Amino acid sequence: MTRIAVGTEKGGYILEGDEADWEVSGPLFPGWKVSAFAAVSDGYLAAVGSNWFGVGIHRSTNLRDWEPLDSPPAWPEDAGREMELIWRFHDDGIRLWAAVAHAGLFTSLDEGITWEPVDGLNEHRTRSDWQPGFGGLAAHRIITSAESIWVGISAVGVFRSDDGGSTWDLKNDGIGPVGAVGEERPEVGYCVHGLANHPADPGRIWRQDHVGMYRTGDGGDNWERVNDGLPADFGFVIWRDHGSGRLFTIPLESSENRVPVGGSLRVYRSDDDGEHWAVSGAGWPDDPQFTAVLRGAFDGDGRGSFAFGTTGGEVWLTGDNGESWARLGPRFPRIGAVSLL
Amino acid sequence: MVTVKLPRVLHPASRGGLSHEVEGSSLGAALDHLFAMEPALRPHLLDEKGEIRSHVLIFVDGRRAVLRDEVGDHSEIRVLQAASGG
Repeated sequence: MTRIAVGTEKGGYILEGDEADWEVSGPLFPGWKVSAFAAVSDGYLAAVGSNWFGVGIHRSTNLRDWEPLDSPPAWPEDAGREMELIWRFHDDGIRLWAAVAHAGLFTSLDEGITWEPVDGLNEHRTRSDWQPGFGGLAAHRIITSAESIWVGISAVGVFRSDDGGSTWDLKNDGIGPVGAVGEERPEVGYCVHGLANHPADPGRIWRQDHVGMYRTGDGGDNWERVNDGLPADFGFVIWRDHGSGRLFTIPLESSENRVPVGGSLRVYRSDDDGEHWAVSGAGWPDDPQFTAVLRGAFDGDGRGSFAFGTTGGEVWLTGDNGESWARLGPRFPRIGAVSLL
Repeated sequence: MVTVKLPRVLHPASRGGLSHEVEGSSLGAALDHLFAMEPALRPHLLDEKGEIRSHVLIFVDGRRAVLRDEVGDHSEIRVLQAASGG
């Protein structure tokens, strides 16, 4: 049984099934953008957002009955920032983290009942230079390993803390900046789209950036470009299946034209840590698909299952580590979040 | 008592349904009473500065109101569903 939570512009949906037999439930939170799902120790969380009514978090033990949490992450009154969206939850086993827009990081020690801002990052000395990208000024990726934390913020860059979140350093050497003018290398302005790391060697990180695919072996001190075999630099997806070490990405034509190259929707995979990339498996449509896969719209279980959702509202899944792919379920609204629960 | 009526989209954030009886002599006081019963509604109606969110309209007895406006013992407060956007 595979269970896929799908967050769309208009509500959330749960897909449950095996092979060709899938049941759909929903919409959850009708009318709301559902921006993130997460499994936590005592159930599940869903983040919702609205252009008019702000953000909220809901909790469930069964994915059917949901209750609102009273105090989602909030900026202080004098911060001059809006809580636009909760992009991602991350559970490190002790603390729950939330990456949000306007860009920031919050943490909870009580399963999301109360949240504290991570001031060392949120009030970083470079904060006044942070500028939004096309998707807004959003923190959207969190990796944790003991006292080390990596956070990706668009269009600012990757930050790393080695002291549990008290102090943070920018880690973007080797990455091309976005929209920089002149010869001086800016301190911020690096548009990270996705991060994935090696659980046994957490400083080995792969990064789908606005300007290409990169990897680091030293926690982000140095990045190298690894695009061999990819048809485009741009994209949002990077996923590592930890059981096999296989990497997955979904290239898009360009920043200006965020659709599969030539309309050819394909996942690409690498079996050598990103040195070389090739189309992953079979099952892809022959007809053009001018649709994108966004930065929150994919997830896997680390044991060969990997799902993604498109801006055209389709969900795709492999259950055999990318050897075969199939489209599941109905056509949903624009998909922004996918989680295997 | 003052009646507060909420749009259907706020149902997931309101454990007690879409109609509430509250007390208060101003819109702000009535909403404070509502938030004491339904705390998850607060961030959906008020912004970080404690003002009514910029695209949220609240009417008291058929007239658009701000937080300091008075409400009567039998007033009806209506939070409107947004009419703009996709």
